[in-house]
Amino acid sequence: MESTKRNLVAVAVVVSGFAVGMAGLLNYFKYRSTANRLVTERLVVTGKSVENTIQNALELGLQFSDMTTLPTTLDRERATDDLIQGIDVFDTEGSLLYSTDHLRASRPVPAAWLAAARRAGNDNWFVDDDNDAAAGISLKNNFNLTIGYIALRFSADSVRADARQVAQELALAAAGIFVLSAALSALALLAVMRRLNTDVSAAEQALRAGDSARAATLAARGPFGPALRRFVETTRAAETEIAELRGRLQRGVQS
Amino acid sequence: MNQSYLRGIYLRLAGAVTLVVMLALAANALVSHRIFETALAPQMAAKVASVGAGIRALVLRAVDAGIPFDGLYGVTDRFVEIKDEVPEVAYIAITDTAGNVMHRSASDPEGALAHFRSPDVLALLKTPQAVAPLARVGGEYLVSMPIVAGEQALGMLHLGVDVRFVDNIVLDMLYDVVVVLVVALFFTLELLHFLAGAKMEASLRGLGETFERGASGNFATPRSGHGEQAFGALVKLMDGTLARINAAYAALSRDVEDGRRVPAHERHPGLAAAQGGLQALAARFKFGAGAPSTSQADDGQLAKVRAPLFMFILAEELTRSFLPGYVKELLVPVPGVSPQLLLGLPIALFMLIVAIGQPFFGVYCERVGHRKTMLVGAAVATLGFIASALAHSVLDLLLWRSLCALGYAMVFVAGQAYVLDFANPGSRARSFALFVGAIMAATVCGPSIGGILADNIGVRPSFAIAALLAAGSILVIRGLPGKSAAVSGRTATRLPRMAEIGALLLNRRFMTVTGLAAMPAKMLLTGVCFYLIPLYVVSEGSTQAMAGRILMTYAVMMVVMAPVTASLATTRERMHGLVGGGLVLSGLGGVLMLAGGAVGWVFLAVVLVGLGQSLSISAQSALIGEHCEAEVAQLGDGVVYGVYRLLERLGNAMGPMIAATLVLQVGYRTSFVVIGAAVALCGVAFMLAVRRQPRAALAAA
Repeated sequence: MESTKRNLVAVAVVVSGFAVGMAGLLNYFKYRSTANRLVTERLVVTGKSVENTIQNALELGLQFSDMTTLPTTLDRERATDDLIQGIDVFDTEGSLLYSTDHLRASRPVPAAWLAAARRAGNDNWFVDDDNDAAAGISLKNNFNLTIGYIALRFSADSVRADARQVAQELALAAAGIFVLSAALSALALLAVMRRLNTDVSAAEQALRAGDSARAATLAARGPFGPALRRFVETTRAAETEIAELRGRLQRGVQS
Repeated sequence: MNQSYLRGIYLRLAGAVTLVVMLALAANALVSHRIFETALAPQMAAKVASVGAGIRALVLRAVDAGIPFDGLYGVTDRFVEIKDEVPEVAYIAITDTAGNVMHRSASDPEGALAHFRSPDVLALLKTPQAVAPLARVGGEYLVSMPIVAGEQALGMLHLGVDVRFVDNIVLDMLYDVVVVLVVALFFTLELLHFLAGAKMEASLRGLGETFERGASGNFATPRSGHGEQAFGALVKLMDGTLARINAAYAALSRDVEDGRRVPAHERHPGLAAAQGGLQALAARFKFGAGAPSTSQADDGQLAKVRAPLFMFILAEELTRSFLPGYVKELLVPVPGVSPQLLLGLPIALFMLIVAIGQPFFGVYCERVGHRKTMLVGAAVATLGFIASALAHSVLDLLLWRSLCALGYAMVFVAGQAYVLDFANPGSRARSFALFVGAIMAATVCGPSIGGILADNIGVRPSFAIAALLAAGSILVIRGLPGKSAAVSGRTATRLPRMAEIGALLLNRRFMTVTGLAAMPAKMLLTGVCFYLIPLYVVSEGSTQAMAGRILMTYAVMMVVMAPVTASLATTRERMHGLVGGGLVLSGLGGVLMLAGGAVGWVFLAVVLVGLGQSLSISAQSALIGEHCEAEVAQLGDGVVYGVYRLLERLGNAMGPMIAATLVLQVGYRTSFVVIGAAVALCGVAFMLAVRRQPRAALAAA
């Protein structure tokens, strides 16, 4: 019975660990996806503003690659949100056309951006990269053809630091709940097993009872009742018969 | 007594754990809600402030263009547009410099007016670029921003977010948490069985045997005692009682024998009566030395196979919900093969290898033993999972999935043979329930957890977890006995000959069950559940976790309903009804997609498919024995059932290819309908065919 109890405690620990661990994992990933979505949507609000400026210029007949006032607009928009490190505008081939960071002008845009932008189609896109974290949107002309993309670079460090902080809090909470849950479920399992012990004890008591009538009464109480009653009745009958025969034999020997 | 009592204990144990785990998950949701609120509210505020900056810029442009601040028009319309663009924004208002509302998108939250007029908020007018910290007002979080044109303060912009936005995030996870709870319940049952159940079951069986020995008057002492038992003291007490009676009888016999050795004239007259009594006792009861019981040891060995089987099958089932999506990611153009067919190819190839490989691995298993076959199979599959996680394109993935299929077939066959070898001939059906139970539990847990993992940590790491599980099963398989037990009444496995396969293929009664019922049922399962659903659900904008939940629903239906429907299959006519009705019902599941294409309809369709399959699955294989008595007598049940399983699994392989071809021609939804309608028609055809068919007994004669 002792090893069974140990195993039941193990069951409680493993199942609680699985459930609370999975829930903790889900919580963390839910937080991360929500936080990333909020960051993306926050940046995209600024991106939409840039897009409006570009669309207005296109409607006036300006060439996408020849908007002289766009760099000023980009600088102004960058200043509206301290999360934004820079704004880049690039064409569908990945050539950078405008940037708030003039040193970047000679460099191609990161391949991850172009891939994410192409994959996203009309949706927002998000790249969580060590050096090139960005959120972006696509730019379309009047014929609904994609002519380029706007990328809003941001510092992933601050977003990650927040995520780390939340991960620690969630892990701590999950650890506490796990310990409680494992302890409680182990106790609950042992309580169920105690009931089994009670049933067994009742059966033992019935077997130890001197007379069969009392044994049958005791036996009838537990779940082993019918089986135990038959056991007790048969064994008592056999014992009685053997005792009678022995008595008969002994009486004969004495006389 | 044993089974119902044990089931009662199991249910109580599992119920206790499930209740505590449910409470733990609720507590976890509560705590995470608070953490989310603290962490996400500032981020939401920053997002709302970005939205506010746009509105403020618009207002300032209008004022700059000469429109007076108190004469702005169309403001409320713009608020409505913004609420459409950013649904989290529940309230927008513009107030003047005194905090009086000029424009609002909805009724003010409770306490809003006092907040707008509070000195802290109005003080912001002196710092034009400032954004007030998030303030909770009534049921909303408010962000306030000053509107200042040059040096002139015009008013304030206020944006509100419903405080329940965090509730929605937590509620979003509800489905996944319920899945975790269901899976935890199944894990509990498996673990109870693995860590404690087998021993408890053996102990209860020992207890039951001892009860039975005593009750039936069998006092013969077994040559070997019981091992360590959960009810050791009770069994010892009962054994003691039986041994005492046995010893008393032996002593009495000796005394009677001693009495008989004296000369006849010295014998006591009572001796004859005692001797007669002894003979009467010996006739009614059994005394002496009994044979040791082997069933307990064998059942203990039998239960050992469940844990490794569960772990291994779980590894494969984990991939069920995300495999088609993964294949889609790895697609490369292959001349002459459509992308849809390529998508179905890894599943079809897997099923084909399992179908064709199983007969051969059966022979291999008999030669090298269960443990070795299972070890090799699990190792091969582990390699397959690792390589699948690193796959470059669909072409190398085909190779890696083939390794997984080989491993699966080996472990499956060896597991089946293990059960056959260690099960008592009288309790083979119950022993097979153990085998099927492990598979069904893995089918419930795998796809749902796999979908959640794939959505959160990615598909490749999820494959790595599958590899870990398969590798973990190797450790448990090592604990299985190396040599098989002495097999009684089981003929050696042999491959069916081509002539035998041909004869069965031409046999009308065999093909009625196999061709009209078993194969279509499997085609529906793999075509609809394994191919169409994961792809369709994701194509509808839902997640792989949702596909997993839907597949879990199928498995839950099977687990819940299969035992009920199996108990209904008591007569041949009922079996016909169950098989035909089951096929029609599961086919209607596919047809149901005519009603709508939303994910809810897919759920309902899968419920019908699960219900239909659970009706027909047990009766199908039983009907083979009913319909083909003559063939079984002539060829042996190994050959007849071997060919039946082979064809059934070929149906598994054909399902995804049929579905892929249909998707190419008619699209996803119509493919559901076409496959469903075809299966329902097979059900009707089956019913008609069995109605006209003569009984097997007549055919055999």
